[in-house]
This record gives sequence, structure tokens and C-alpha cells, in this order.
Amino acid sequence: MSGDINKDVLLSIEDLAISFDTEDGEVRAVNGVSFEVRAGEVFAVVGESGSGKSVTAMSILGLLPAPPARIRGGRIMWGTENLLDATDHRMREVRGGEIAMIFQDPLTALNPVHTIGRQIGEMVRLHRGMSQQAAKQHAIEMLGLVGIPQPAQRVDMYPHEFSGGMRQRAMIAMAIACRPRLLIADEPTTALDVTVQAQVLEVLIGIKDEIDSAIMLITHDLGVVAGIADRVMVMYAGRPVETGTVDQVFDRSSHPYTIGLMDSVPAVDGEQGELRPIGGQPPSMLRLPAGCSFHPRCRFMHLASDCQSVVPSLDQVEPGHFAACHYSTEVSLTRTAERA
Amino acid sequence: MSWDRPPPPQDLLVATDVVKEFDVRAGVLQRVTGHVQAVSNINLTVHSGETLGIVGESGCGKSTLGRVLMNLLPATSGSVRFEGREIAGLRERDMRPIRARLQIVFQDPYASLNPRMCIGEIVGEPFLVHRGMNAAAARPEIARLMETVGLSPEHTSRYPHEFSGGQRQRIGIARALALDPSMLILDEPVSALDVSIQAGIVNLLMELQRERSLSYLFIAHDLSVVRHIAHRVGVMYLGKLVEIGPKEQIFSAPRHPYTRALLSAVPVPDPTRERARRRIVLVGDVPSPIDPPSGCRFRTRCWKATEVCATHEPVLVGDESGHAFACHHPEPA
Repeated sequence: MSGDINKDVLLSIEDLAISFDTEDGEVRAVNGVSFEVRAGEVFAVVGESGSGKSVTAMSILGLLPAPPARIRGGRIMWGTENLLDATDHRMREVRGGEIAMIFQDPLTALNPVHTIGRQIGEMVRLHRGMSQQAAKQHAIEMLGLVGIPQPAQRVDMYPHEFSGGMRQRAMIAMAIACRPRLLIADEPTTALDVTVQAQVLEVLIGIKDEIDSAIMLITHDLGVVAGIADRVMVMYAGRPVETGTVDQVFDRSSHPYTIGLMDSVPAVDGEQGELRPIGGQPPSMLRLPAGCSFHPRCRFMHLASDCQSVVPSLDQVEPGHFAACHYSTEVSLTRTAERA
Repeated sequence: MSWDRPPPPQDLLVATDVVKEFDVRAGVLQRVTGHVQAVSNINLTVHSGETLGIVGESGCGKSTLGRVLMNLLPATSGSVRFEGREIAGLRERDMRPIRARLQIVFQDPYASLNPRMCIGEIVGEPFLVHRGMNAAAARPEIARLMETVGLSPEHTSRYPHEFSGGQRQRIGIARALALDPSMLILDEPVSALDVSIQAGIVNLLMELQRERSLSYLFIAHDLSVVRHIAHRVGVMYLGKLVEIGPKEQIFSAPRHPYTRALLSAVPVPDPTRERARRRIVLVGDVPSPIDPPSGCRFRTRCWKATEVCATHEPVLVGDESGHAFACHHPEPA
């Protein structure tokens, strides 16, 4: 298992809080998020729209526009360095060089007026000071690595000449050009068809081993998580509600929201019974419910009233497995009984 | 209600050799330089009370097919019979009574609801337009529909922007149900929604089908949802129906290599089962429909393709169970 606790911690987020100032008031998008990404692992962050998963990812690379974004607290430790205190110059070194990002929509991330090769090459010219000639050679090599056929010809093409799947690969090629130690992939396959998704995920995992980096994967697709992640963090309303290895979180879910998500998705192998949707609506981030943000939608809520007043902390339920629920033990037992 | 109507025929909708071509234009003068067959010789039947799922990747023609079947887009050729009546080529005026019986729900509940109309007006419009009711007479009908789809009747005076995505999709379904249709075409009805909200809409659709013996044509790219909701499934690739049959056979024993690859590509939300699955990763991308491959359109990505696949287009042949596939080298049964 690569969820090994002894592996080097690459990135450590500590009690991060981010809000956005809007006309309607302060939107508390991220409210105390802590997690670690370790060398060589695939760490997935799962949640629905508005859960704060993308905001967390963007903040790592300092990509949030401020204002309206405001870091209210916490630390983003990259090794021994807090990236929140880093200079602009230092952040430019980190971005692309040490931590690279893959976005959902390659068309917005790729520049339409430059060739694919120039855009990949630019990474190594900037970060490594490679010559134009060497950078192009490197671009061809990277395109080959992500499985683009005839890379030597394709390197001179423009993004519009690529299909959706090829653009996504080109973006991956760009992201890995400097062999970053961490790849942040924000919904990298959501815009792709499922057969192309399979190709891109295969490339992503192959690359990870090839360049020995870690992947932080942001997604809403539980299938993708089950398939490629080592560890997973489930987010709801700007907070982590459960985290652990994929086996722990899927097989011994200990937070009612995680259970709700699992019960909401059908499986293509037909092994999922009746769907049980989560009642109600996600909360407004302007007015989060008191206590546990999930309590108005929680089907275990009858258990207690402190859910409505006390924010549950992320507590250990077994080694490496944490849940933020006052009644995680009862919830987990009920779950096991339901599944039996 | 519908007790005074004759029972609907068993075959509610029958499409025969349906073709939809679009012009391809190029250059500054936008001259027609060719045609693209978005839907190519489709034959299918939707039975009364069943859900026929149509799956395929982007550009396979599934959404175009849905629009052609309900004559929102005119078919280039072929026949579509609905409740025993030919509807392909009908003028808009003659389509009106049929529209009451055959409705569509779109993917994007944000784009398909008029932002300047309140929910009562949106859901009640069919009563005014088709039934000639006045607003007062329609009010109890609107309240009844709102309850049917799980919305509070007190919200009729609110506007679409005041609702979440899932609630808006419920409004779209309420509007489609207003005139007591026998069939709904559901075009990706849950794909814009968060997963926890999707399940509620899927359950609502299944419940409505049981209560009203509705028929659905459920168009989706999400095979897991289709497996959950459909009785029979058709698989499209580049405008062609490559396989169709009872759900269990399509998902458990697919005969067309494309169906098999497609199913294998969908990850299962369970780490243990997911690790045990074997994935067929197709090479390349879907070719351009403007210039589809000769013979079998899937051959350029198929690991089983031989010479015959390039020269002879496989025909859709079926067995007595209604499982049909178009392939020269089918997977073992």
C-alpha cells in the first residue's frame, strides 16, 4: 500500500481558512482544512460543488485572486517553507517547477496563439534556462511520454488542432515538463468522454511513477477515486469530514455525508442497490448552519442535539482514518449493519 | 385524466431508418461543402411503460436522435411513428396535439427555464397554451404538479434563479408532465447535477414511471445511471446504433467490442471491486463524423478489426431476446 504513514510528507496544509468578500457578505469557502500529501501517493479530494476543494487547491499555488479572496489563517507548508509567506519570485519558481497544476478545461489553460511545443518548452526555458532548441526536443519527449502519437510532428501544432483528449495530454505534458514533485489535478477528466478518461488516467498514473511525483487529485467522481487514489479526503461546506485510505473511507465510512455520497451513486457493474439521495440542499456558504454544517441533511441526526451547536473535530476512528462526526462510531456500526 | 382514452399501443414509438444530416459549411461564403450524418439509419422501438437508455460518447448523435424522434429537428429521411401515427415531417401546427403526449426534459435546467417567468407560469403554460385554461383554472393543476415532483406549491411565485439545480430540474419535469404525456425524452437529465442531488431526480423519474406507466427515452453518457434506470439499452457510435438489447445482456454480456470497451472504462465506486476489473483502453479518439471510416465506423479503434471491417459495413442483427449488434467479430456470448 502506498498510503504508508512513514513516507515523506511533501505538502502539509495546517488549519487553512479562506474567505471571499462578496456583495452579499463574506463567503467562508474553506474553514479549517488540514491534510498532508506524501511523496509518491495519489491523494484525492472529493466533494460536491461549493465544498471548497478547488479553492484549497488554487490556494496552494497562490492562484486565488485577492481581493476578493482572503486567507484568514493557516499555513501551507512545502517542506520547511510556508508558501503563504513566499515572495512572488519564489512562487514563480514553485509554480510549474516544483508543483504543477492540471486543470479541467485544457482550452482555457493552453494559449491558442502559440504552438503546443512552444508552450511546453516555455516551462523548461523559464525554469531550467534551456535553449530554444533543447526546449523543443524536451517538448517532443514529453509529448511522447503522455502518449501522443507522432510527437515530432505534433509539437508544431496549435491547441485547436488537437482533440479534447490530446489537449488534456498536452496540458499534462506541460505540467510534467519540469518534473515537479507534486501534480495538482483539478477534475482532470471531467470534461472527457469515458474511454478518453481511461486513457488520460492511465497516462497520469504512468507519469507519476515515471517522474516519481505525488498527485493531489480533485474530483467529484467516486469511481475515479476508487480506481487510482491511495488516500482520500471528503470535503463538505469548506471542511474535511472524513479522511483515510480509500479502503478505510469506502469500506468503513464513518461520516454520514460520506455514506450519503456512496449511496447516491449507481455502479456500472450493477452492484449498487436502491439509490438513497441525501435530503435537502447544500448550505449557503454565506450562512453556514451552526454546529456540524451537515446536520440539517443528516439522516443520523436524531442521535443527538450537540450536532446543532458544536462543530465536530476531525478525530481518529482507526489508525490513519479520521472522521468529523460526534457519533462516528455509531454511524459506522449502523452502516456496517445496513450493508450486511 | 386518461381513463377515456384507448389503451396505448404496445409499441409506443417506432423509428425506422431514421437519418439526420447536417450541412457542412466552409469558407468566407459559408458554402455547403458536404454533409455530416449525425444520425445514420437508426431503427428502434420504445415499448409502452419502459425506459430505453441511449448511451454513447460526445458526438455520437444521441442528443440529435432525441430531438429528431420528437420532431424538434426534422428528419432527413426515415419514419417515426408515435402512438401509431407518423410524426416525421409533420408541420408544427399538426405536432401540437402530439407534443402534449411526447415531451422532452433537457440537460441544463439553468438554460431551459425562462428566467423572467415565475415557476407557476412555467409549469402552468402548457395548460394555457394547449388546454385554453385561464390562470385561475390552472392554479390547482399547477399545485398538484409541484407536489408530484416534490416541490412546495407555495413556491409557485418564485423565479428560477431562486432554486437550486436539482429543484430546477424538478420544475422542468413538472412542466413536461403537465399535459399527461405517455412518453418523455430525457436528454442527460441528471448530468449537470451534483451526485447527491442526481439520486433524488433518478428516484423521482422511476417513481413517476411506476405511477403513470410513462415511457422514457433516457439519453445519457453516464452508463452507471443508465444501468440503474433503463430496461433496455442502445449504444451509439458515430451516428450508428451498434448494439441494443435488454439491460442485463448489454451490461453483463455485451457483444459489440465498443460496448465492452465503453463499459470497462467506467470506474466502479468501490476500491475492492475496482481493483479486480480489467480495463480495455481504446487507442485514439473518435474520428470526425464528417469523414467517417469506411465499413464499420468503429474499426479504427477496434482491437479486433480485420480487412472485412473496412470493406463491409456490419448490419445490426438480433436474436429472439431482442439483443442485436452490428459487428463482424462479436464478443463471445
